Amino acid sequence: MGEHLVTFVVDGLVCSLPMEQVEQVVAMPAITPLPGADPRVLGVIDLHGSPCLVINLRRLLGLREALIQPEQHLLIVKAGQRICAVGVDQALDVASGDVLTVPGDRRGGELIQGLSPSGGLLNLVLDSAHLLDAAPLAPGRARDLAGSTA
Amino acid sequence: MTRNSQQVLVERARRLAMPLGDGADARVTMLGFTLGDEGFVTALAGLTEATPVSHLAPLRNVPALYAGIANVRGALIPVFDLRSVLNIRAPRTGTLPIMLVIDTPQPAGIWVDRLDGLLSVERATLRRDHGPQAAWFLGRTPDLRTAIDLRALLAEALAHQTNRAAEAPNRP
Repeated sequence: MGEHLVTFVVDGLVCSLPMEQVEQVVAMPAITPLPGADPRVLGVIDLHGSPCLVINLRRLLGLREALIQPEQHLLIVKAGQRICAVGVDQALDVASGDVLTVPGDRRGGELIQGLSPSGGLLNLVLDSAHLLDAAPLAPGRARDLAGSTA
Repeated sequence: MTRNSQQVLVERARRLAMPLGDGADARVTMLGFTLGDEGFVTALAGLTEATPVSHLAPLRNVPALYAGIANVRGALIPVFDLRSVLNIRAPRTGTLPIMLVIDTPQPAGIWVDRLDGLLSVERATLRRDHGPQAAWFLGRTPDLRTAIDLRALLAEALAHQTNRAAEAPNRP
């Protein structure tokens, strides 16, 4: 029995977060942009009275940028001691699977803690603790990681 | 993105911003009424009826809080005029007063000048700034009606009246 993972899709790439790091999955709301903010920050939402940063996961994973759409989902996650939100194209499932550590060190890729074949899909297992401080991956790097072990 | 999609996103953001636990009762139906030149809303809970008063027997030598005694289907109930408590200076209007009967330990009537019907009020939009710091003041609606808890207001008014009466013999 492996780890429970919340799986989701971003720009066609299947990723997951450990279930204990995910507080809620909600339908995508409007996001208020923060002019001048770090490009990794998509904006901010009001989460039951508290401001909550929305992380631009596409930017962090080196994927194509896209406008938010009502069909998308927002994951409310624990990022260390803070709560933040991550926009995804679609939340898929809660799956159970072992997490395989990414070969090599995690330099420049602290966000990705490993890969998991959970749910019949090989997915990148992210670490929400590094959502706020991870350096963005180079374009194509995330797909390479997912593909190289597949 | 279409205008409709944007509206969907904005509506979701608004709901997500609501305090936890208020989702199910985010909107509440309240009774709107006018007293003097001010609009009010009050919760339906605790209200037993709203009825026109065909005859109100005035009471002599009593504080302004007491409007009189009304006969409601054979039962005599006191009718209170909260105008003085709410600092409403406008005189009573209308030839046929309306009374809200509230279910305190004893039924009591509250004089109102006009009923404005049932209004759907969103709890999250009630603002408590610039209002009295009292349990009966629930906030102000976006259209500037004052949301009040009638039972709490009447209890406070009666307690205040009792205190004044108790202090009166001690005055020089």
